[in-house]
Amino acid sequence: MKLLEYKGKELLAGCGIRSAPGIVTDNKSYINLSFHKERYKEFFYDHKKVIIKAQIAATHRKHNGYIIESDNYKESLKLIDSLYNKEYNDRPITTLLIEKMLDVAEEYYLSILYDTRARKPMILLSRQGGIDIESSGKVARIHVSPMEGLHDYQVRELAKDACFESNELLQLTSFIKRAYQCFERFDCRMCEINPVIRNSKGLLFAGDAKITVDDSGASRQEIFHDITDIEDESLLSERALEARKIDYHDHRGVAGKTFIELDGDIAVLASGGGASLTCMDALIEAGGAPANYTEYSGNPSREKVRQLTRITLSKPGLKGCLVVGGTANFTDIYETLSGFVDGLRDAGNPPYPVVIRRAGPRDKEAFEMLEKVAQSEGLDLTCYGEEMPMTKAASIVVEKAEKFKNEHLH
Amino acid sequence: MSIFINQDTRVLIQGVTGREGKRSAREMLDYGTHVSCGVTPGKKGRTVEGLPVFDSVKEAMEYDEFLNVSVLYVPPLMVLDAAMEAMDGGIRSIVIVTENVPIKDAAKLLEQGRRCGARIIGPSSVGVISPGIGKLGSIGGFEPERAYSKGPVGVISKSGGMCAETSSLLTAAGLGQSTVVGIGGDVLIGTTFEDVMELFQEDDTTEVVVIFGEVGGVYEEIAAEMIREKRFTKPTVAFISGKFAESISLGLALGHAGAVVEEGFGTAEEKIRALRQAGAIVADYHHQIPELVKQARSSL
Repeated sequence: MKLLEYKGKELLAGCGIRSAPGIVTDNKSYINLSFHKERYKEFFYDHKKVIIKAQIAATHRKHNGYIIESDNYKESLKLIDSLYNKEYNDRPITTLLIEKMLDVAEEYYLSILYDTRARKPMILLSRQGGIDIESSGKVARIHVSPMEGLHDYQVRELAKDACFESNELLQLTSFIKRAYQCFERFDCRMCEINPVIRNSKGLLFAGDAKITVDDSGASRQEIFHDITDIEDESLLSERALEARKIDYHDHRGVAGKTFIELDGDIAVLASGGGASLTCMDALIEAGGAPANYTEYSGNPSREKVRQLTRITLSKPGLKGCLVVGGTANFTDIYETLSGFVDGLRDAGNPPYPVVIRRAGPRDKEAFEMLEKVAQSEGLDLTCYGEEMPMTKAASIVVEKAEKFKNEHLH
Repeated sequence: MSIFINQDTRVLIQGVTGREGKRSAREMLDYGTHVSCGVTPGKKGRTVEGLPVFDSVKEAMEYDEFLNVSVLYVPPLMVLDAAMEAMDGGIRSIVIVTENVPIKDAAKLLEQGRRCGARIIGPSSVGVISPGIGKLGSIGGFEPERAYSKGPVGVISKSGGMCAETSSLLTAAGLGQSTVVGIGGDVLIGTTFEDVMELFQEDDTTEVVVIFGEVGGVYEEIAAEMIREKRFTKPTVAFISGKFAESISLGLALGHAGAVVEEGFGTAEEKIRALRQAGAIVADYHHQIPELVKQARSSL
């Protein structure tokens, strides 16, 4: 779960990390409502110069015009309007963070994330912050013991290594410790502050906040329970948001945790992380165009598969559907494919071809059931078991969808 | 001699009274694995599939001092506690089947594992099977014979489902497996391709190794380094899934928590290149694996 900048800054503030004074405007008319307009006006004249930032999880926001500065009140109102009229990923901008423009003396880079090689948290620090950090200046790094936590002396060594001076160490150490506290406490996968701003008075601020929360840890963090409020929705379609809610309050199995909207016309319901990726590759290789990527696995309930099917098939203009998975170890094929049939009915029993390739516990029963349903409800359903390599099943659905398209042209 | 499982293997199941724990107990027993007992705090005195249930690992160890493997089926937020308890109780081989374990907890229990010299497989591992000898975890389900057969091919897979898919292709082609290991697709895992390859290198029953990898992380690249540096010298056939991930938005986890491409790092293409350069044979399509394994064997 990626947090928007202003939510990330709220988490950091809770751990004692300062950001510039700011206000959040969360709908288009906000600034034109007289009450809020007064509040903004006051804010503006208190600070004289503002930086207006669209709340989207994009990189290079400034370069692409999603961050604008202004020291003229009237002009700033126009700029706010213009930002609200921009789009990102074909979706409107819904939220802005308006902050006091800090007088920047220096900008640093700080990032905390997991190093998969060392299998520990790692802190990266550079004296040269800003964009393209990877290519500029020296980045110092340390690993942290997840059991023992972070000691001050480790941070001081890190800062020394990143060429900070003796008189800067104590303040910076405290800042980094607080950031690590945020990373630890809130089950973050990544916590990046780029830039860390030092102002002319020598105070340190979070200039930006890129925080990704570990989805598996979020369930124990009360602060994240109302996910739609804080998540970066600009990357997710409505269907993706709906699909991801299927797993809430039912942790057996996974269904729809990841749902990616794609341009094509073949719906995909894959089972198993590995199988799903393998089949997407094969589908594209065979000349097909997937309408989505999604996955269910770990023996989810019938109801969860039903929901995911309904959401996946709600896309208009589909020409085929591939339900694919390997030989399951313990997923009940009868139960999950019954869920698929339920979802198929919810979607109004579509006329396009459906190819199913699946094997595992109770698969024979499942196929008999599917055959009956196909006959009685007039569905174009083809079922394969383990004798058909899944990557070949992917090319069969492509052929059938082609044929379906041609028939429907005439 | 197979890796991970042998005639001395004696298994404890933590979380044995849950739905998946119970099922797994039955499956392991049916496959001839020596499962000794189970632990579920608060449920002492029950029996599951004929196995006694205890409140703690300590009690389980008192019941059977030869316990040496624990298979975990506890809910995600209880995995850290259960793994710590197993290690504290003296168990040095742990298979974590549970999915959705928070990364923070995984980091902690893996560190503890390194400190006390415990081998941890997973989290999100489907298990380990040595066909004809035994199995740990959910791998193979109730009918392991359907996909798995005894033979000379070692299989290592991030994906549980693809352990079965890969092995069933091999079995259909007359190629049995020595041991098949589901290492899990999480961001942090206890046993990587490299760790298993080290064991396969010394394992006489393994002639060829098949690796199923995917986008995200660096574990495939580390395996490639190992081959390049000749620390692993048996023929290796690899397949890497997730090429399509390069064409879509970055930073989303695809199927497995660890399958994330970020800023051009961890791409399938990069991994394929690293493996090929190191001398591994990389299959373009998954169903080519048996053919490539045969070719690799004929050159031995």
